[in-house]
Amino acid sequence: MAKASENKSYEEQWQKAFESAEMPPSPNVWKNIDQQLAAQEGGKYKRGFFFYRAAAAVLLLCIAGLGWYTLTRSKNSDSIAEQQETEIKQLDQSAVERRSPLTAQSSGKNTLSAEQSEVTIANEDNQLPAANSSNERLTTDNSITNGDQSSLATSESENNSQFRMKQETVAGSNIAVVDADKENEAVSVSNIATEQLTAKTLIFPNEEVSPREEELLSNHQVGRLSALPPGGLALSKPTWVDGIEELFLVPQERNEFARKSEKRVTQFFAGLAMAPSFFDPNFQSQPSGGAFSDFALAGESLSPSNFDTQSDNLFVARMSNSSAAPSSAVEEGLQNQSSLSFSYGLNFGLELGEHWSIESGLDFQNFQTTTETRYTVVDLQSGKRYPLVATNAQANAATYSNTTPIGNPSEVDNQFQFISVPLLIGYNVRFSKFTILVSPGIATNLFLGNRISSDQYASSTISRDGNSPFNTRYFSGMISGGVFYQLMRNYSLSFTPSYQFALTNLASNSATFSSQPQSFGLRLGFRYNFQ
Amino acid sequence: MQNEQALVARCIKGERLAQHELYEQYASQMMVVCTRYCKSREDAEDVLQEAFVKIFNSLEKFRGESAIKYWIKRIVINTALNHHRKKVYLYPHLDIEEVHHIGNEDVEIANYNYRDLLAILQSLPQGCQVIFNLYAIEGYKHKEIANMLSISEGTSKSQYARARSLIRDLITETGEVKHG
Repeated sequence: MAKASENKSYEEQWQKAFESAEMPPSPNVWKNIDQQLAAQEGGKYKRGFFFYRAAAAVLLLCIAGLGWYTLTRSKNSDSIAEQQETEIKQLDQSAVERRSPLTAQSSGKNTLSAEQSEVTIANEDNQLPAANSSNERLTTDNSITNGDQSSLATSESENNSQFRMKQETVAGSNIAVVDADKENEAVSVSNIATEQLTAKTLIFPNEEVSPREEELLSNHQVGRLSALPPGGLALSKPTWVDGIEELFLVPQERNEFARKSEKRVTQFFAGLAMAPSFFDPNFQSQPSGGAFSDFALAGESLSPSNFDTQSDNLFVARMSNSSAAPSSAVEEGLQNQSSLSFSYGLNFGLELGEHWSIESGLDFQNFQTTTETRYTVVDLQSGKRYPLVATNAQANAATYSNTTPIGNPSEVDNQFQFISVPLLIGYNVRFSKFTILVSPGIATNLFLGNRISSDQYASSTISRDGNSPFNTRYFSGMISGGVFYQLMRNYSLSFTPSYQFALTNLASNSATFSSQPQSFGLRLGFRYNFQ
Repeated sequence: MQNEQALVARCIKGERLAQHELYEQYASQMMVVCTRYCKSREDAEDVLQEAFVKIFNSLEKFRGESAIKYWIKRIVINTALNHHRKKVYLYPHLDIEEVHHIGNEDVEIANYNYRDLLAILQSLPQGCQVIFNLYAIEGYKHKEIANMLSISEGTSKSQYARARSLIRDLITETGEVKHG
């Protein structure tokens, strides 16, 4: 063997030897990198997607609710219109039956001609007094004519429904407002009318008036309805109605709504809510734990200086059933830092009278916390390395044996998932469209899983099985309060911060730690009130 | 250089093709680095994989102050050190005084190719292997190594001395290098 060259230092020779060295890795390496990057990107998108999906669901519910409300309202209007039409037809029919052959000619006209017919009949009635119950509307006109100076709106109250019916039917035909453009077209017909008996009536744009009817109507002051844009509520004053200050359409619903409001005593409600939350599992060391204490970290100190210098396999923690091994429970990962989390819920309830309500629902809680560990474990079957924390140590005790320390503490993400079923009693105080609510209650929380992950190592999940250090459920108390804002009649938005605190232990008896979780959430919700 | 910057920019955007291109460009060289610090090819590939994931995740932090190759290499070395930190036993096997007796008896290695030398390095105890790599090949000083590995400077020196001694023995005793 040659001695090292004097010209080149020993180190330089080594550096030179590896200067341009290349050794292609196996194709699997890139495949694994690709998968790992894809998983990370997927995780990012998944988190974002989950949020947007929840927001989209709320939006969808809003739109669907609004659509449903609009459709329902439209149907109600249709049915009212149909009802009115039927009633008018009935009136029409009865009028035709009582009418002379002359007026029967107009029976083939649209339903609105009933009004005209009635006017005709009424005048005939005036001529030939006879009890006629169908002349209510005419009575209105006549009363005005006869010097009753109350407004039409007032007189309308006597035959409210009939007037409204007429107006709504008119609105349905895009003919909305009275405009007496033929007010002075009255013609004296000596054999029928006198000045005292002059009545006023309305006919509609394009409505044909037969010569005979024209003759009959000639002793009226006739106002022809003109077509105006729909939706106009105020009616222009017919100049021929001297005593009328102003005409208004009185929406039929207004009275109905008022009646409904008076009747409202109990009311169901249901809604969706999303809550940005913060969760603390509140782990506390409990060294007197049961079976798990067998899984112990060997040695008091776990610094690298304690390692067995001769061994390549470093087992600083191991399954130990030997009483000789110093036993101290894994305390890694007990201190958790809350991260922004989200929970999503369906809720429903019942309003009991003016102030009280009872509410329940179903919340999916997906809480995130971060912690640290200085140890990892290796699954001897898969060869994967997992971060070791107190919560997964029990499960690892059965599966893994090779536990090794990490030089620097590694950050570990903890994800806790629960389904929570709350039961709340609420006290509500209403101010106009705002309702202030305070609601204490309890909740049953079903444990779904605890996922422990790290950027550097593989992830593990603790589920509801025998190895889990968690109980399958725990109970918590709740206090919630907030404000609701009523949107339209049936919808309200809510902002209700809530605080939840454990009443029972989430950790099972066999665990080496206790857990009394608490969480705080800012619930943003949308509620539909059934009426 | 501009192409490299463009490639890095595309990698930062998350373009997988660009990431693959960057990987292809440096993977073979970095595989050698990983192998120098590991005992087996499988271990080295694990480190390489972990390192490149880190590289792609932290490429935004690359400021272009040095060539990307050296930035990548530094991450690969750090990953290798972290990967094996738990297995590295950094105890002095030789006293500091003994180090002085080793220097002049090194054998010529110029005749060996890098594969032979890799086999030699892989046969060293883990601690010696790491410190020899850091000192002889990467060019770190003992003080820097001591800081990096949280050991004393003396430990670094003694481990290095032992590594050289073992390498010399391996070469002189067998006369040839056994391929790993």
